[in-house]
Amino acid sequence: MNRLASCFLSACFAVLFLISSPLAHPKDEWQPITPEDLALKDNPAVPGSKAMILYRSIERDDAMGSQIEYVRVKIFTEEGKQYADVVLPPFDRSSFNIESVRGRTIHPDGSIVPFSGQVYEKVVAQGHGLKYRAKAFTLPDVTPGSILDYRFLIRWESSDPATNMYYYFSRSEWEVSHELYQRSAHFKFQPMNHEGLWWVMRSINIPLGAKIDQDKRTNAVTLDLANLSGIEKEEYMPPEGEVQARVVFFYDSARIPQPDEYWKNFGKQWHGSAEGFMDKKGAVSRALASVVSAGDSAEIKLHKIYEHVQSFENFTFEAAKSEKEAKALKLRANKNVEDVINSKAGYRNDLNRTFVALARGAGFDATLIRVTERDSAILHKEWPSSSQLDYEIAMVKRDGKSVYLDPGSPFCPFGILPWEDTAVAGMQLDKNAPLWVELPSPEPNDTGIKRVAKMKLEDDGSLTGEVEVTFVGEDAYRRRFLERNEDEAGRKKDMQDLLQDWLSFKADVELVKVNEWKAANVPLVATYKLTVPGYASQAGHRVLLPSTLFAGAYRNPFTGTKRVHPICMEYTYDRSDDVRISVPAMFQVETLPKPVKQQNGVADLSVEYANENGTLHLTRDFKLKGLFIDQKFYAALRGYFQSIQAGTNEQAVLKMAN
Amino acid sequence: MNKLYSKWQINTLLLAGFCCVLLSGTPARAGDSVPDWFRQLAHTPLGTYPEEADGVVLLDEQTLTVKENGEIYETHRMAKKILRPSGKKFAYLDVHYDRDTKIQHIRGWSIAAGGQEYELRDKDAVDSSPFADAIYDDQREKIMKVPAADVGTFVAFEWEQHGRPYNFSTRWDFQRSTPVKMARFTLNLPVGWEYQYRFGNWAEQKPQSVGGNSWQWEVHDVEGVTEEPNMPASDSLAGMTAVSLYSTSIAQAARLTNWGEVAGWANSLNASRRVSTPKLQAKVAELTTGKTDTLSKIHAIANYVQHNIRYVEISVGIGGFQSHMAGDIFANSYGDCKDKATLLVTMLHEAGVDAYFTLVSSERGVVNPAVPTPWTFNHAIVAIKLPADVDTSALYSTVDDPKLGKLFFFDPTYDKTGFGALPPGEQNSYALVVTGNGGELIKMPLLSPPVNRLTRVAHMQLTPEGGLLGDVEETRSGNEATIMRERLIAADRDKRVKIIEQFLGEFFDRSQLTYASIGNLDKYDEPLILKYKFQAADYAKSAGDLMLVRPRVLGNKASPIAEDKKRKYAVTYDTTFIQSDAIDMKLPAGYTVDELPPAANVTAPFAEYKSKIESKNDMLYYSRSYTLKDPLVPLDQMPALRTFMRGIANDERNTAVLKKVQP
Repeated sequence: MNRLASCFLSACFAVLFLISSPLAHPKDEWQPITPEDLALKDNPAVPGSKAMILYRSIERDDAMGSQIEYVRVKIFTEEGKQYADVVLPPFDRSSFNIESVRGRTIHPDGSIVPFSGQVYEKVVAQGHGLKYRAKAFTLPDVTPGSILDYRFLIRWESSDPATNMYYYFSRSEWEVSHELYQRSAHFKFQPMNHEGLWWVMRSINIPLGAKIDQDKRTNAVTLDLANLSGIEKEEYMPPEGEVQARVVFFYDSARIPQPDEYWKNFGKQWHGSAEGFMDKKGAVSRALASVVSAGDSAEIKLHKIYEHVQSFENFTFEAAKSEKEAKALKLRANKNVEDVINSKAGYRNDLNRTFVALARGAGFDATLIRVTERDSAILHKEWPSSSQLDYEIAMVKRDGKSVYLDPGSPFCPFGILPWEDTAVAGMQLDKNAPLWVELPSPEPNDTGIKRVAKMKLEDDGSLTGEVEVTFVGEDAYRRRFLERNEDEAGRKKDMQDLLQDWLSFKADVELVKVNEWKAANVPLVATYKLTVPGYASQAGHRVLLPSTLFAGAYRNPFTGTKRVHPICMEYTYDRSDDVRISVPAMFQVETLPKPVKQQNGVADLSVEYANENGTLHLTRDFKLKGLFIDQKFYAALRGYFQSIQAGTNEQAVLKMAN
Repeated sequence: MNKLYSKWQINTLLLAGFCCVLLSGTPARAGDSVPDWFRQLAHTPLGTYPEEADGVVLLDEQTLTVKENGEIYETHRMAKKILRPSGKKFAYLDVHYDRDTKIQHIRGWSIAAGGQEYELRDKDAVDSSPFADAIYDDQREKIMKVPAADVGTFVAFEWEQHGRPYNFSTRWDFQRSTPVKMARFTLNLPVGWEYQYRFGNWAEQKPQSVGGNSWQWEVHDVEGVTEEPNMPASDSLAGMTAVSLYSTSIAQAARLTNWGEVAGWANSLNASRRVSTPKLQAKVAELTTGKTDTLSKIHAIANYVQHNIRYVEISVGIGGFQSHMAGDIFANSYGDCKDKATLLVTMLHEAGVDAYFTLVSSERGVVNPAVPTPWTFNHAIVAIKLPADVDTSALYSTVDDPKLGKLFFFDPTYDKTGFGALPPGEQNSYALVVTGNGGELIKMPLLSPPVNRLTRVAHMQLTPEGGLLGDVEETRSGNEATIMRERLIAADRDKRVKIIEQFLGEFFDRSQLTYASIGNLDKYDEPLILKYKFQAADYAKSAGDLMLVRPRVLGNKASPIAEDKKRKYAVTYDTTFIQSDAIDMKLPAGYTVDELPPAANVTAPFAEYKSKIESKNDMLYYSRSYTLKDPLVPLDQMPALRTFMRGIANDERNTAVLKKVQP
């Protein structure tokens, strides 16, 4: 569904918009059908497909408040028959409606079964004066080989000159990509043309050769394209919206400036509001008096302020409270840092603004950076859309270096940013806007998991002992954040499941203790008791011992041979194991796997084995350094992770001492 | 009725978002307070509950009142305490209704751990679609979320709802996943009305008279039915009571106290839908032309309905229980399970074959023969009456019933199940065969292991560097074929390659699929044949002058299912089966076998597993066979299952040691 999110009443247009053309309405005629399409057995471009779109069209008319969608699908397999069930998106009737649904099924012999069934409508959500409905229909008598045609009209409330009511959308969008392959597609956009209303078009991932035209008389924009791949989802891919073909039309009630000017204007506006929010010197001084001491070093002061702000209640990461609860708890929106300081509560941006205000109050050079989080989107500076920059984080200058901080994220350690905010572009709060900055990539040495195991091989082949796991940096933050709403029993189960997942054998895992769940600035250390039945296997007079206890932690994440999208890892890290296994005296070590030392642009790996007087000692260190990898290197990347996994299956060979 | 796939679900997230927005808009009101019954419950001492319990139900009360005119009203009271963060979900209530079962009123309260009291009323509820799988139904739900959803909070709800008109049979489900301190069911009947009740999965309990023609049952300290992997269906374990109300004063208030009466009720809804049309008759004639024996005709018609009538559920009001007209189902080529069953029965009748509309549960063990009630079925299939002389050797789902004769059970909805077989959940379960003059509850058969077979034959070659070249042929039948067909058919060609690659990835660190073919993918009555070739680098590991190689190569049969020593319920598998591997492996030149692992022979009352490894010249031969004879392993057999699975695991880990031959 096109995003009609910001539909609001605007009285800013001086001249009434008069409807000058008849209401948009689906045409009755369908696209002609060729014998070749009737006979088509498979998608030549993607053999083995369930179905493909032969033709798709979206004609959107913002002036008339309507959109006509037309889809022609060819069904190839039994499974592809699912595309005969069409559920149209839910809609709020106060904003828009779906009508004039038509459809038909064309058999491979050319015979046509018109859709004469019912279009079902049901209310899918209703309350507090709002009502969301959805419509659905199913096309009749569908078989593999059928061609399905359907079309429908979406109509939304148009501007009403009689009441001086005008609807204004901040943006319109064509979702050009579809889950199915599209052989041919046509899009048309007729912008609103009120006097004083401006618009611009921006697009991403439109294939080369696509034809975009604009009618100078009507301003209508058309896009025609062919052979567009279906949406492919893969592990570690960029945000879904960034790999799809999209065309966005931005509206504004003033002339839409060039990007530099747009961001300059936005930056000034943001500067005014953010500085206004933070400008409460009295409240800041009072708060600092209870947080820092005169004798504190600058570093300690900054840490104390960070921890103080991070201890506040954080609404961004809690379940939303109802109006009733908010009233009972006397909650109200924060208007400035004084409100945040007094209530000791706020949203993530409120807390980071409060941190910056307190840091400035303590004499630090601190400011805000506004970013686009890379788990959901990539910043497009050419788009006149400030909503891309959704979160604010703090930056403090220390010894000429920029330190990026996010006390507005619970359990995020000092000096670490949530990975979503690393390696992204952001705008720095500055009166001379726009001041763009690049946030640094995470450092592998700042984040990691270290597993230390002291184990004993029992006579029955089982392994028993203790394991200590230390999480630091992003890994500690993620684990604490994940468990923040769990109780002791829930956390215990999750931590035991985590260790079990790292093992390649089913084991008895018991979490003995965890040092500290609540503090952000100390590593998270978990201690376990572990028994692994049947760890060793016998072959005649020899005993074989897997050399990597935590083999499950090194599984190859890339199993498929094909790759469509670039690889985007979340963060870099260091994973290290130190495992000692004492073996019964009746055995002696016959052979050990060979050591490994590898370095490349993606990762470093070092594995060593030693026989230390009857104790096997394994050390393994894996450091992931690469964050963004082009898909053309996928085969090499996959091969590399395969070889790492293969290394975990090496075995030590023991034999009877005599 | 059973639902197979969803289109509405694609919008679930969006709709959930709508509901969250609407629920968070609950307006503030002054003077919230909770009723005395709830406050008293919140002050009652609690028992001890398992540490994994999300919460405890303090009171689950249901009152069913029948008016003189036959109208039915149900009132419910529910109070819970949230014990764990995962119990915050108890702050939500959702009550389903449709146009016949409207909600009269709904209220909600909570008492926060700090003592703050909250109250919600009808207008605070959000009305929504329950995201059912149907392409369309008129099911609705009222959702209410009381404030202060946190550990230590008490929550309570009360609602009144119209009973479905002329539905004088109900069930009281008092055992669910959460422990219950007290559950109560009260029946208020007009003078002259009678009732019958049957407890399922719970000891029989007599009601207390509470004045007039009113009766009450209470149960206390009911354990929660918690989830475990491979457990039986929770409805086959949880305590419930089926209640039938009847009176001579209202024609529809007939007894539903035995299975024949339940079948009569189902027949009254669906018999009139089996009306043929000229087009339907023409199709039957087309399908049966040239077919002289009855079984061929049955096969052709059953195959047509199973594969050409698309599963689409559209149900409105009583349509949730009543099929559409056979002619409409045929004309549209779509329908849900009861529609497909109705159409198949109608078409078979046209071909001169007797067949019966049949009610089942899609989950094994849910239909309890001792508890007759319509509210235990969720699916419809067909029982086809076979002439005495039909060869039933390949019709595995045939039963010889003393009254109805030879009955062949066929499910026209599960389209990946071959002719002659039954979906797993229906095997060894009860079916209510609806005949014109009543019906019979008949146990459907458990298909024997040879019906569900996976045979893997592989020719391998080990390279001096430890790489493995493999050429594998898998032959799958019965449920083994169905499972794989479901995955492969749902995938495009590229995704099918990925499925095989992922399978290889479970056993090889570095593998490359070099060839794959699939035979009989859409020939559901034939074995599914998978052929693939691969290369796997570093399969065998070098250790000095030794080479270590795992002879099992493919397939994981071992499972840690019985390792959980706190397990409460039996272990169930989908079906019986036989899985076998036969692998020959050519050894690299310059190596000889130094040590071989022992053969395995593990047996248990429900299964057996045997493996053998031999070497001859430069070849290694490994074979194994795993037979599951009974898909239900009772709780007292867990030690045997544990020993059995550890035996398999040992065999799967075993390694052969090759040694370099000194020149």
